[in-house]
Amino acid sequence: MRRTVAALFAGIALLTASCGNPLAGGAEGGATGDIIIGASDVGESLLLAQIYAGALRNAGAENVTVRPPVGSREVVVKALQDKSLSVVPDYSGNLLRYFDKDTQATTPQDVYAQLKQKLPQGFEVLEQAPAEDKDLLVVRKELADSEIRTFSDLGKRCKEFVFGGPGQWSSRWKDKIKALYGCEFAEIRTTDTGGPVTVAALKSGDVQVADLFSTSSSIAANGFVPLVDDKNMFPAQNIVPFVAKGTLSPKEVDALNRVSAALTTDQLTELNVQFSEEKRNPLDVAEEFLRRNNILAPS
Amino acid sequence: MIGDVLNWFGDPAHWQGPDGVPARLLQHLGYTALALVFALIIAIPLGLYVGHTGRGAVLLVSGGNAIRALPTLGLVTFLFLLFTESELSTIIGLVVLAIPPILAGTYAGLQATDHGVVDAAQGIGMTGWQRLWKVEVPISLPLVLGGVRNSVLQLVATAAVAAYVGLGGLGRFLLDGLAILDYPQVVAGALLTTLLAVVLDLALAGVQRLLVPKGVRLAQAASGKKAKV
Amino acid sequence: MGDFFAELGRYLGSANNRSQFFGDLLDHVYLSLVPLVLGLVIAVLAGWLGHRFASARSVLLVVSNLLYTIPSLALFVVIPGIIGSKILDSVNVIVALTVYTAALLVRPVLDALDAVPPHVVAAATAIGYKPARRFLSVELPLSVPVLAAGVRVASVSNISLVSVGALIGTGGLGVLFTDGFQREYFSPIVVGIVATLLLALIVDLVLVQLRDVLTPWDRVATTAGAK
Repeated sequence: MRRTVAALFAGIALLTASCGNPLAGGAEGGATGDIIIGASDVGESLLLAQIYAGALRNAGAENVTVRPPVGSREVVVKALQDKSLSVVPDYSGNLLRYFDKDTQATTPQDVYAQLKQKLPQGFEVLEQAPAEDKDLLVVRKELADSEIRTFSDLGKRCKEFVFGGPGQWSSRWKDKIKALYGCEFAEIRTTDTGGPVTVAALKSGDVQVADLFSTSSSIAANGFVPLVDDKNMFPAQNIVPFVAKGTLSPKEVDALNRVSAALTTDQLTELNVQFSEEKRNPLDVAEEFLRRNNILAPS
Repeated sequence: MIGDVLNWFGDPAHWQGPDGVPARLLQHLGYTALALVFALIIAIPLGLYVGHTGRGAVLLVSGGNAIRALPTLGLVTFLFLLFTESELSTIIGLVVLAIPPILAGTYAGLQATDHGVVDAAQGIGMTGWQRLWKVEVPISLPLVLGGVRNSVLQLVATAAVAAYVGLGGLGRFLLDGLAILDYPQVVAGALLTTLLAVVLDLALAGVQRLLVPKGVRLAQAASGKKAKV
Repeated sequence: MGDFFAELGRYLGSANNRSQFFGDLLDHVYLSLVPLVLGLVIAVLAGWLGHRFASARSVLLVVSNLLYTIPSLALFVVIPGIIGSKILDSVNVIVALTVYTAALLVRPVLDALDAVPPHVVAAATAIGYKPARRFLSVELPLSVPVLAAGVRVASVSNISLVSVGALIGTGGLGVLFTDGFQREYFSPIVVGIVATLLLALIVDLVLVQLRDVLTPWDRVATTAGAK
């Protein structure tokens, strides 16, 4: 009896030990060590992560893993700091704002230049892509038809509307939108980060103005109308690899720069359609993008 | 850290408005109560029927186990996609998950009724209905209430998870705080949710004490199986 | 409805989808079973303490009751702060589920140890069993049926709860739910739910087999009786 029990426990222990922890993502990334790519909670981020992964593997990197989406920038920065992540696809404008809340830069070049300056020790950004995915304030067609076309138009009437957006929107933009456009919403509600809850809320009329993203496929799919940011409140948001210093070799850096060079806004929007509307697997979508742009050898 | 959390609670802004503690707490309680009521309406009669007549017992047990094994996140996301609306879909999910413990408790309660007592009741001429309400129900009350307590824990926990699909309530502090690594908010949310669960559990334990006849309480050590949520 | 099945077929038809699914499944198995074993060991140790020392017993019951009341998401999010783990580490889920499993099993362990007939304990002592060996060879094996029931409940619970870990970035089948939700895509969610249910069923069957293997005297008694 004792032997059976002992044998059983030993067996289980052995099995567990040999399987190891399949999720041992706590490994330190080094220049030729494990590369762990993260993604924030915007679906497109996962796509980009897979594209980076494909390019890196093609450049000879051996242990490349993509972690499941974990929440927004704050989590990501912490993870890059303790090297549980090596590289993350990020957005230049928001990244800059994270490190310099009062930045006035809005054009792609200015934002990128300031970003390189303001990044703390231990982090770096590689070359940015021409592709941008900016915040948009969108409304339903009916509202747009009633002469609200720009943020300035919206500003005077904000008091009538309920706004839906990501949890951080309030702390990031509430003051700025008031200062720039005189806009004070009747209520700022947390829905999600440009995801299904926000879309559903806008569609049903629970909120009248929503924050969605410019490459998102749900805007066109639902007939929403984006308003024009006439005073450029939202800065440029170019896709840029955000890297924990020392985790990528020059060859790997080069691979990611080639990806960035090839990524345009139109292509990014198309990728989103394939992922979110056509429901294709992100690895498939990534692979096709890489082949089409000659980063991967054509099959 | 503890200081930060205390500061968070000390900030009056966190106690006002639609995002404040009282509002969220009420929302959370509201969802829990609403789902509990529906679950009771469905589960108790069903449990009484199966327990009293003995029919469909196997179906009940396996069905209950299957529902207990349902992943809460899967259920709420599935229902949200089905109804594309946070509140309705979540309430349905909550009700579904709350039914098995109450059902199991009711059924087990009736099962636990000592047959000698029931026979004695029949012997002195009680009808089926009378046996049910005057004998079986009072004796099975501890187990039924145990099931209800279990359900309530399940509901409080699942309502927190449902914040992911846009539901209000205390889960918002957890998930919104987590999204921006606002740890004081996260811990505050965790504390509040736990407190709510503990308070409700203690309250129901108190009700259990009051409602169950003393003789029954002494005679039966309720050791109902709980399923974690 | 036909559309839905067609879409499901398309989802499962992609090799990448399938391999990602199996990876998630493996992670899920690991994340739910390791805490089961760890929690059981802790509960047995704690239960032995509570059985031996009456003062420990009441403390244990109160503490385990309290721990079990903590809502899952709440426990998941505070664990990194308490044990100082990295924010994305899967160890957070393992620790949390171990806590739940142990908390759930302490009472059954105590009940089972209480239920061991005193004359059996006396007989064992009489023929020279030291307390430790007696515990391992006599009291624990006799507790198996009651423990098995608790472990079965804990396993179902763990398997269901691992999915919630997706909200704090852990792997497992929960990733299918967040993905499906974000893309408004039913297929991964349905696959995830079905896989979770099947996993729970299979593990339960294995546990029942294990229990039967560990209690051969029950089978002998039945055959003897049948003669």
